[in-house]
Amino acid sequence: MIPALLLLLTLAIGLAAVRKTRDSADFFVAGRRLGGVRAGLAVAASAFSGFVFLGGPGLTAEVGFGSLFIVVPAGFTAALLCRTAGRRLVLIAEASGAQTLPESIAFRFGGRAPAALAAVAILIGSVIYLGVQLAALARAARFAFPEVNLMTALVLGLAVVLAYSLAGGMVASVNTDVLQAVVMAAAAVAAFAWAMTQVGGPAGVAENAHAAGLDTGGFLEPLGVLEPATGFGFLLLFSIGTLGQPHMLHKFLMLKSPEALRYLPAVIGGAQGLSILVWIGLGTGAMLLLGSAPGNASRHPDEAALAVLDLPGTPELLAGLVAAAVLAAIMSTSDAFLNLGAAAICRDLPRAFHRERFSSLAAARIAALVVGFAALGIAAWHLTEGGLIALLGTLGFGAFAASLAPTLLLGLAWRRITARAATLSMAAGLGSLIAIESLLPQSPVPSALLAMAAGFLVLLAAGLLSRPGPVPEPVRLAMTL
Amino acid sequence: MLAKGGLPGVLVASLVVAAAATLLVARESAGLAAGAAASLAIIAVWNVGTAGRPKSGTPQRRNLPSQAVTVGLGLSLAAGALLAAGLADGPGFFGLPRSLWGLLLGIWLIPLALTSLGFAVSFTAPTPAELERLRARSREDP
Repeated sequence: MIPALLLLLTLAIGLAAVRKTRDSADFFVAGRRLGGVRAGLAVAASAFSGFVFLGGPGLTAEVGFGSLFIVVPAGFTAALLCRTAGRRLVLIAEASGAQTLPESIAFRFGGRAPAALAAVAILIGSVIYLGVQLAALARAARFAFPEVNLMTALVLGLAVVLAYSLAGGMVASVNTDVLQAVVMAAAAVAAFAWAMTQVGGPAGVAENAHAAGLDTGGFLEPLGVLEPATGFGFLLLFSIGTLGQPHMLHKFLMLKSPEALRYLPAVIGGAQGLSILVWIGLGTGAMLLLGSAPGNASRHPDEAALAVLDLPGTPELLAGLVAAAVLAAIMSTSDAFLNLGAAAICRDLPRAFHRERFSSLAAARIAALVVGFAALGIAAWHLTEGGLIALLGTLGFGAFAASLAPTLLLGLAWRRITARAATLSMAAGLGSLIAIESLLPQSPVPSALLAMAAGFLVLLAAGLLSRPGPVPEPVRLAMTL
Repeated sequence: MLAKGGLPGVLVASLVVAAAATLLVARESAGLAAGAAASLAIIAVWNVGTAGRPKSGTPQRRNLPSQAVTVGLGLSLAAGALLAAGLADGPGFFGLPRSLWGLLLGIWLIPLALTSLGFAVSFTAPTPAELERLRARSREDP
């Protein structure tokens, strides 16, 4: 009932936004009218996806509290974003009117190659990340309706997201994000409180773990079952790598003024802080409560969060609220990636190849359809392979981190970084990720961290070795104000 | 401009140390080294936020709340990372491992409160005159 209500409300908000979507500025940057609270909730909602609501508890059930290395950096990443790349992107948008990240990169560096490569990276990452969301949606649907075929669930899920995203663009996306962020935070708090009650509070966690023999396996200790390289690798990747996430950074181009940045970290951090409770609460529940539950052995780890809510005695209201939050998390991220992928296809890549931009709304909608169907293919492959959502999510996050984080952190701050240095760095990051994933799939250090380090080293080396050219005055001002 | 902030050296050194430390997976002390290096690398990246902006030093430019947040964040991350790596083994609050509390408090909750509030207090938006200058220069030099 609650998930159905959320779907209806989401569709209604999305369709209401159609009237407010008159041109590409409305479709891609919500008319640049966002204040701090709306933007903050939109960033939080699009950042936290099926990865957090299903993948996180599933990973916790597999590796214990070491999984938290992925999510606790959210404590400071919102402020880190605002303080570094976000602040400069707001000023670049003021100066240039850029509607996409590649357009901002083109304004900063000039030339066509950096923007083209950024668009390619965004397109690849968007398809992977959208595939993660669709896979999560299919898992949730299969759990709720065992008689529904996984592929049918995939197609239905994509149809709902496409319906409101194509109609209302970024206005619809941001407005639905606000509702979805509130639902996600409320469900996470409720799920955490319920799970803690079931295991006897924090003290009960230790006692239950001892009784189940989990404490000797290190499940309660962050590095208990993880290699130090893996745990701290996740910490570095998910903190510094946040600076390359286009679904978060794109929202900075929509702010109505730089002053809106002031309370952005508090809003993003607060909403994310509450949502993280679902990872901890349902992850703990999955570790401690599911051990003897019937059918658990045959269950996929990504269904652990929902399995906890399927235990006898769970209030129906809570189960419904969390199911709605899972839907909200998936939809809020999906619509952001549909928009980003569409912008890469119909604005950024044509511009890079000297073609006229396809700036009509119809072109944007067709491009979003193409991205949606490509992601459907990734999701179908992932489900057939039976992989973990968290691992595919890490790859999507990593593709953005490796290719974009170095350029958006240092390139917007340091005048020595030239177009050539930025291009080389993005190519090195993306190329290294593909190479490491192919050659060293079992590396204890997350492959995306190594690829991001390669991107940083290439950027710094190329920056130091290049002869710096003159920086146009508007760019210099945008970098220094 | 970044060089004026003295950052490239710290950033490169911390990234190299972090990469080297995280690769030492077979050593007992790898966790502590990786934790220390990771917190150093994060603080170096945090400091890029002030790079390129007019140098502080004049009393009106000095942003004490911002500097206090940077120091507090660095201490919190370092303490949290070292505890998470097992610096002080054993049970802590509610019988849960100290390493878990190090991760939750030092890397998540204390930085969340510190950076959210600290940013709101220390943030200085460009003035309307500065923004108008930015737009005007863009019109002149598109």
